[in-house]
Parts: sequence; structure tokens; C-alpha cells
Amino acid sequence: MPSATMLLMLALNLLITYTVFNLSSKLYHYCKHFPLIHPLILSALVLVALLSVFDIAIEDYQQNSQVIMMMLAPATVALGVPLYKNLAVLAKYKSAIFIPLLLGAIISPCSALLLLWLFKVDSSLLLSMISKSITSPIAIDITKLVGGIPAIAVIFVIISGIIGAALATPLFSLLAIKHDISKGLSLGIASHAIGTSSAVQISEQCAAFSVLAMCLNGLLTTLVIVLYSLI
Amino acid sequence: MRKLSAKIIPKLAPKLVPKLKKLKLISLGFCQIFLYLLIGEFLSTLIPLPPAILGLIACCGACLLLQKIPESLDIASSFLLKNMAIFFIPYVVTITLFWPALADYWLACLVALFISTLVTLSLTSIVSDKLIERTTQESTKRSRCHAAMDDKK
Repeated sequence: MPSATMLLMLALNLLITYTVFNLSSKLYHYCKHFPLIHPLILSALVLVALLSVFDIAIEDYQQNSQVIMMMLAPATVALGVPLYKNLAVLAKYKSAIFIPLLLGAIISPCSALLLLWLFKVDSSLLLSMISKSITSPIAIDITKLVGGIPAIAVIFVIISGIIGAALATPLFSLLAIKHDISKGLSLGIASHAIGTSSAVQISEQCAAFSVLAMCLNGLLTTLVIVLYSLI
Repeated sequence: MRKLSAKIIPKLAPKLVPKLKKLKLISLGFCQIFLYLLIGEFLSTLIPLPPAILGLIACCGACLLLQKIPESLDIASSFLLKNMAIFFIPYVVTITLFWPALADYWLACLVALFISTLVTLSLTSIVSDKLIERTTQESTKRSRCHAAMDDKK
């Protein structure tokens, strides 16, 4: 019965992914949050190694992990709850939130573009870099609008997310950032939903402002790009 | 058999009932979350934004209308958020599929991503930290002024 084996594969996939992630996050806590073994990096490496050892194609793994990928949408919706809890704080620190947001929305794509331009990289890659700090569903649309390659844009989005999530904690302690609000904001601006998943670990307030920054950054960039493409 | 169950149930009940209650609350919360997702899916046909983000806004808006967070929604959302990072793993794994497309420029791209992410993180966090500090100072000053004025009266 093909459907039964498929169901079994799905369950096995979920179990293995969950176990690998759990173990790697335990190791991450044990090693005092050393950035290179951030659970996302470590568990992806372990899974790729496992797949190559058992000679399973990555396409098959992707096919069988649809359920895990689909759960991302309800998890995004669930972020509405911490956002609601912190609306009062948002109203209090209006300017302290919108100025860095504007700054980040400009600096994040511009600095990456400048560097790539200095390295003399292809223009199609350059265009795919514009949406690097925006949550991937919006990033795909934006990349299509400006004429980049969506698949590569998604890679850039994920990598910048991982960099932010892995390095945020040591960076914040190096810069002596005091408020969870600013930690959340910068994580949301620089590394969207993956940054938010590590902001959840810091505090609920941090998560709320990360969500806020992620949404507003996405909206702002979309608005600018749509206006630009109309002109 | 009946005797046995009569013995076991009173023993198990105090342990089981809270768990069942929590299960009921979580499933209720999940129903609400999927309802918001459905609303987002519907709205995305009207507004050019991804359904999940619209669902997030719908969820927050519903809480605003109710003026509170239902306990079931709170439990379900904190459960989802605690495990949020897991849902990204398949995406990270599939990066390896697209790697050949980047073969010539991967180092340049990686360096650019690295530097720009770090610059953005540090700049935005420093600026917002400074601004928050100033806002809190102003508000404490203002409250002190009010207190002083009250003293004069």
C-alpha cells in the first residue's frame, strides 16, 4: 500500500528531524551558545550527512518534509499573540522603533549590493540580493518584480537569517545592548523569521518586536519596489 | 473488570484530567490559528501579501477586538513558537540543492551577506537602544517635573 509507506516515511522524517534538532540544540546550550554550532546549522549538516550516508536524494527528503514546511504558516500566525501583548510598548516608543527600522531597511540591501558590486558579481545575483533581509514569501515576489532569480534569493534570505540568528547573542553582549526591544528590532530587520525564532529564546518582548520589524520591513521594501517598478 | 477499573480510575484521574484539559485547550487554540490562516488565505486574494503575514495581522486584530488573548490561543501559540526553528530545517537542508547555481560567486556572496547582516544588526540595535534610553529619560524627567509642580501647588 503506497499511502501507508508514505505516511510511515512522513512520520519517520518528522521524528528524525525533531530528534536531530533537539540533540543539536542541547549541544548548543551545552557549548554556551557557540555560534558555529547554532542548531539550525548543526542539524542541517547532520541531516545532509545522514542523507548521503543512507544514499537518500535530498529531493526525496524535501518531498517527505512537506508537513514540517507547512507548519511554518501557522507558526507565523501564532506570532500575532506576542505582537498583541506588546502593542502598548510600541505606542510608547514610536520614534525609537521607526527610525532604526527605516535605517535598517535602507542599509541592509544597500550594503550587500555595494559589496557585491565591488566584487564584480553578475547582475542577476545582484538583483536577487535586494530582498535578502525580508521574510521569504515576500522576498520571492520582490525578486520576481526586480528581475532576479527567486531560488537564489531564497538561499540568500535563509543564509542571512542563519548568520543573524547565530551571531546575534554574542554581538549584543559585545555591543552591550540593554533593551530586549532593540535586540528584537535588529533581529527582525536583519534576519526576518529565522532571527525571530532565536529572538523567541531571548524573551517574549524581544520576539514581539522582531515580528513587528520583520512585517514592517517587508511592507516597506515591497512598497518601495512596487513604486519603483511603476516608475 | 469493573472492579479493576473502579480501582484504577480514581488513581489515574488526578494525573490525567489536567493533561486532557491542556490537550483540549491546545487543540482549540490550533483551530483558532488555522482559522486566522484561512482568513489570511482569503485576504491574500485581495491584498498582495503572503497569507501567513495576513493571518498574523488577523490574529492580532482579533485579540484587539476581544481586548484579551483567549487562554487556548495563548497555549497553542507558545507551543508553536517554542518549536518554530524546527520548521526551517527542511529549507536549510534544501540549500544544498541550489548550491551549483552559486558555484562561481559563493565566497563573494557569503562575505557580502556576512558583513551586511552584521552591520545592519549592530547599527539598528545601537540606534534603537540610544533612542529608547532617551525616551525613558524624557518620561522620567517629565514625571519628575510633574511631581515638582505638584509639590509647589
